[in-house]
Amino acid sequence: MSYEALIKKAWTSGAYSLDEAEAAKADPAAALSRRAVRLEMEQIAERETWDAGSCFAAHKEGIMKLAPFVKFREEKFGAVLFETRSEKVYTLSPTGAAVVREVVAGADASNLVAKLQEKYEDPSGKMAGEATSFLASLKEKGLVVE
Amino acid sequence: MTTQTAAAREEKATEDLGAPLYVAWQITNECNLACLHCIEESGPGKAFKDELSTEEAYGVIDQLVKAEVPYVSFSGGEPMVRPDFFGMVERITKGGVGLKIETNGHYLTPENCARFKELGVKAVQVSLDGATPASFNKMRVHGRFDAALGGISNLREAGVPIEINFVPAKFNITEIGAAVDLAHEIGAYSFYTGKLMFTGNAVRTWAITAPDENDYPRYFATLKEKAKEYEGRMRVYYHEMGLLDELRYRLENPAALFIVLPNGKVKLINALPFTCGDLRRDTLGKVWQNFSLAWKSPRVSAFVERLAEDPTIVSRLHQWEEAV
Repeated sequence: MSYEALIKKAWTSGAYSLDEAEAAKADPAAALSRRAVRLEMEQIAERETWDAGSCFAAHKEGIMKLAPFVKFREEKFGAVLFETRSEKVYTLSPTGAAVVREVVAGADASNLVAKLQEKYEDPSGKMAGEATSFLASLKEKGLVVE
Repeated sequence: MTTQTAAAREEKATEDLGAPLYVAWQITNECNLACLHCIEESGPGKAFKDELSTEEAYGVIDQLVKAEVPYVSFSGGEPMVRPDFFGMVERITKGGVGLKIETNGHYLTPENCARFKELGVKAVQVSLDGATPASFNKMRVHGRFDAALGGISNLREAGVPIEINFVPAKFNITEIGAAVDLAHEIGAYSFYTGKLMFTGNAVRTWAITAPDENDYPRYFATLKEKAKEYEGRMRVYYHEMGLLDELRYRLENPAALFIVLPNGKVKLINALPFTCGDLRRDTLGKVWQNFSLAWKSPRVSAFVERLAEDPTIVSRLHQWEEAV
């Protein structure tokens, strides 16, 4: 079985191993390829496990959390997020800082914006819009897990 | 460090921050190896006479914790030769600071790696200058390729995130593709490299270490290809800027990081001789205030421009000058 075929099989069926019939058809070069793919998958799984613990804990508790490789610090202008894996810095406006403060406090996605609206005046709804879109971007970047 | 802006309309300058975002702390100048290219001139018996005591180092850690510095690296020399190394690691990680260890990998026993995992160390960066024992052992005098690989294997076993650092030299530059492949194979999530710097031990060994400038275009082209090949699996970072360009850029855009030397003095950046304080004497807050002022000092900019005429002036590594 080729590398591509094995990948396809793995992602469609969730099975990373071959049955005996498939294995019998495999040539030695393909077997090497399979071992390489398997090793690759195991390595990815190992790396992902590092982050998965925190995601799982947050999920069980029904809350959001900063990812384990993210540090948050308040500043006069708002705040900064520091992502230790890529050593990237994100500077946050006061609205961004307020969103992350609620995440750190253990808010869940469904009530975070409502909590902000209780604390800050937002007659135009501008803050709510910004907070919603910012939270989505934090999740998309993997900086916040739930 | 790279900066992005989120939920904000403008970039913030380093001076707007209340404290550094990254502190690179050389906790000792002592080292078990005597590498040909060492930018710190470290080696056996090279500890500074006035290195911070355990009590003083703990005092610095407490200030870093209080200032909420998000990320600190412990390097050297070889940081793991300090007898109080794990005491420092424990104190800083328990204070909530993200910690990276930069090591030559020769002390990464299974027990030490398990301790890193237990203490939540964010990453261990191991120097692996070569894809073969021949080039690695030549660069890292007294070092052993198999010992470094064994240490990395122990990190992987313990589940500690691994980064690899590679410094090019005349005799290993063509191995770069194989070195990136090896880094991935042994489980690294990041690979860092750049150009060999003309400072520290490299000044004395330049004739045998410095790659031909004509070798660099192929070197960086290979890295570009490898970065693409490993996208999503391992980050390949490479820094093509030469020292002069880097320093000119930093004059305009100082990064929010400084270098703490083993004796507590604080440098603006490794290649410059200028200090902006002494953590044995000054508070972290005071040093941070000095940091922004120091980057604006005419003496610093004049030094950088002199470097364009005379590249050898960065060779006087340990002759520090106060910039403010």
